[in-house]
Amino acid sequence: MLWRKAYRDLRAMGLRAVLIVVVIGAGPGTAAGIALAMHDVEATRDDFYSRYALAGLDLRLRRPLPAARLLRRAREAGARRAEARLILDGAALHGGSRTAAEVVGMPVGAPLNRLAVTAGRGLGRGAPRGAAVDADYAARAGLAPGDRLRLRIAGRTIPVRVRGLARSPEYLLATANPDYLVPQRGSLAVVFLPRAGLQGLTGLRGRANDLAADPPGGGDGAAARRLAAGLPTARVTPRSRQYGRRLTEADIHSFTIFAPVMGVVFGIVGLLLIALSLRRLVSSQRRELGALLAIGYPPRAVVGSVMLLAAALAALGAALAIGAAIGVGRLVANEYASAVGFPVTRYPLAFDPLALAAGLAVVATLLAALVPAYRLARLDPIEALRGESVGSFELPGWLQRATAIGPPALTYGLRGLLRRPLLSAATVVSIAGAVGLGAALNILVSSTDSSVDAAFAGQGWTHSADLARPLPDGRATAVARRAGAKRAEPTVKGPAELHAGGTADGTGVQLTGLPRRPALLRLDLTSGAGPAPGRIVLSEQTADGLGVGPGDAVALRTSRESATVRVAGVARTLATEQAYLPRARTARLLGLPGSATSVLVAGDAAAARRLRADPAVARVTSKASALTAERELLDELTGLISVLQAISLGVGALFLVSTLALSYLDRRGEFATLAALGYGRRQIGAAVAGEALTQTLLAAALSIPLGILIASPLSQRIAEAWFEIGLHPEAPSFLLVIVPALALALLAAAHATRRALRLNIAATVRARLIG
Amino acid sequence: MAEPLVSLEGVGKSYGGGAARQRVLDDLSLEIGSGEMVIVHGPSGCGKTTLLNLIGGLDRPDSGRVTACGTELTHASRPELTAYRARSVGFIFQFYNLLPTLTALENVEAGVRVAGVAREESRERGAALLERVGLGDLAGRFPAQLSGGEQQRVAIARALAKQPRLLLADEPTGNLDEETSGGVLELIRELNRETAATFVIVSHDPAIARSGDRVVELSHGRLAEAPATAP
Repeated sequence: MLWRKAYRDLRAMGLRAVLIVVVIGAGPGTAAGIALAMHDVEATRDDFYSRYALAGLDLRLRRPLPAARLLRRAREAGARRAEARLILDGAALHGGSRTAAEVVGMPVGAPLNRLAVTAGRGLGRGAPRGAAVDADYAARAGLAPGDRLRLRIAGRTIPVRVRGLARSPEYLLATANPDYLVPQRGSLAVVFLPRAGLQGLTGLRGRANDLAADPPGGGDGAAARRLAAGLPTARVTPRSRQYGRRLTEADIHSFTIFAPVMGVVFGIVGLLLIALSLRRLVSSQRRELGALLAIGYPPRAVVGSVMLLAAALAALGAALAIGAAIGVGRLVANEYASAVGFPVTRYPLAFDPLALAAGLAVVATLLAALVPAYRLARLDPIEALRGESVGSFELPGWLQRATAIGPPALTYGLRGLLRRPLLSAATVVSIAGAVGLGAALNILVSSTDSSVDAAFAGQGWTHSADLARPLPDGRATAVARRAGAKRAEPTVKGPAELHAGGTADGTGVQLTGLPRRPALLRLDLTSGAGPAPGRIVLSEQTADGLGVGPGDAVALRTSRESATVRVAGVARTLATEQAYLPRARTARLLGLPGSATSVLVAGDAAAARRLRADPAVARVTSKASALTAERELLDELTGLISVLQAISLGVGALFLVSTLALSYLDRRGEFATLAALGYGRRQIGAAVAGEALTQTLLAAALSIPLGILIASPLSQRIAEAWFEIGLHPEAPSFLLVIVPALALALLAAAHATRRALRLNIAATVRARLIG
Repeated sequence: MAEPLVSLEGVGKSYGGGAARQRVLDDLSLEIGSGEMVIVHGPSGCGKTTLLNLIGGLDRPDSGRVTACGTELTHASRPELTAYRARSVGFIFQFYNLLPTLTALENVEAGVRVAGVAREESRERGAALLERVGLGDLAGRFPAQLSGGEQQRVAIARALAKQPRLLLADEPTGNLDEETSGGVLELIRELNRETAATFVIVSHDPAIARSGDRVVELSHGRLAEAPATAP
């Protein structure tokens, strides 16, 4: 009998059942969807790096050596896979523009760092001039398979034909100037050619200047160090410090910043609404459950009757939660993976988040029903038969006066909020949570933007010219002067490793040598002093990562030598993993005494053009383009944030609409009474809209502190992944989400009003729905 | 009888469809004069409430014609019916149907303001009527703080406060005990005498039937008018 009752109750509930199922499924589903997206993004990354075999170690040599000798050394070091490559810096000339280029001569069918062809064909043995071009550069330059491209390398111009577009795990986020860790998509033309072809075209037959290998123990192990030790290395890059991978990891890390916060927000508000909706459902059955008690059904049967209905709703809610989790997961993962640049997004269905979504929906629903059902079953049948205590509405005098504003319909609407204060509060908190989350994401974007602007504004350089090969300081300065730069500051940069407290695990940094009084590269010190002999300045993230501050000793190791230095100060930098020492000391540590690897210049566009044309210069990055790159990066982030915001607003709207609709369904008898009294569309609309708008305005007010509260830990996590940002909550950040929320509230109110006006007044008004 | 205030001509009304179709009113014609107190009496399911809903503009007939207070209701648009209810009709329901979040006085005001009466005047009228129905001291109470009889008195005050030409009551004592029911009935009778409004009361209570100027007996959707019983 109870089964039949549960089934018929469910059918009779109609729209109310649908709304409760939506409430049950939406929160846990969205929370789990975000967890699923994180899982999908990580799976996509792992799949990409595994499928296209990112090398464990990359050794760039100062001069080409016989490729066979390099491969022999790799085998002797126990490397499972290795490939010798010829990689030349130069320029790509296309459509009148010149772009810094890295031309990679790699074996066709390379075992490592394989190409993911996104359009056209890959490298071919019979096509020595058939190139595969990095997809980002191709997009920026407007290149397509079949187009022609000229490469300026090793003092000669080589025409090639684009066979296809590709992405490489090694150059996933290729950028002309990686020092700032600001990926400027397409700013570096990465052009892949068959190794034999490039060797032939440049007169370097059989030679290679790059060794990619998978040494045992990984790129940081002893075998990797042994392999590098005997070679004239210009750069040693273990997989863990590979630029693209580091950036991708940082990107994914930044995603993991948002995901748990969003998941928790949606989870909490979802559970809150489930609890209140079920409580409301059980209360509405009070009279009929009282009847069951009165005719002799034991309390456990009454509880069972409610639990059967709750179980049916929970099962439907769980199914919706699973569907929502998959939908949200795919949407977010696809948006994110595309932003990073993975050619294909993988969606391996993870059991845990889906089980979590379904489990959360079922457990929360059953618990939410059990508590009121149990309390109801313990009531005296007579008391239960009196029905829902919805009529027991009282207000203190001041609140009564405060809400008695405007026409009676408006008073009625406003007091509707006070009728079930818990439910109204939960709705307000839910909407505030969703709106606050959206606002927090906006605050992050605008604050990051401001911080980037401020950081660049403090720099005196306009362009950074990376030299094709290290040059003595004087000659480096002369290159800049020759180009017409007003001021020039040669710098020396290279990779190093820092260890603190004698630990074996270090952190990789970009070590930059600064002149005694730097005029162009200005450090924004947050503590301590600038670099001095034996005293190093670290970026905030590096200092935090190592757990050191001014006065602490750190061990510094380059491929040439090791030294112990003290931390002089900590600087706020846009790039993570930066360290600064006096120039002369840095040059000695990097094995480049008296030399510079790049020149920072202050000059105009003409000077930059001349610098680009100078054969001594490999690439020129302007501050403006670095800023643009930062903005592009922010745009990517904004794209993802927009999706997250849309989800926030969507779920917030769902909460608002479902709560309003449930509230309307509970009070349709009252709306029918209003209609019978002669209240028309305008007055009933005012009542419903007044209620919805008040709820939303309260939520909007609450979303302001909530948004700042949510933005604060997010900005700290961004600081860990990227750079420190100062929070600047501004009105537009809030208005961008509050205005759509208010519009949604009005739409929801309009819908409820329309339903109220379509009521069968005669039938509804006679039903004993109200006190 | 002078120009009737309410006129039903050959009215038919059915509910449901197919085999479940039920004819509730069948070719019913009735005229009710201004100021009359008419009791519609009959067993459950005979069509009393349907008749009241048609007169009140809450429903439309399938056939025939309904006119009340000079408004032709059969083909009136929804806004016209709303305006008719707002200006001309006062309703008293069996379950009172007070808005639980409004006080007694606010409930009465809600019935007046909709007729376009200004706030101050509606407040004065509401207070006077609550005083009249014996609830002057309870004007600030919410419905949940009132007994069933008191709630029904508030509902009566709400119905009359707009000074309607037509007052429709559906089993106004159906949910009250005998003693309270008697009080409410007496109040209705007095108010009918005091006001110029026409009262149409649906009830199966013989005590109410005895109170009207005229008793209309309904049986199976058809009219069987009975002679009035003196109060």
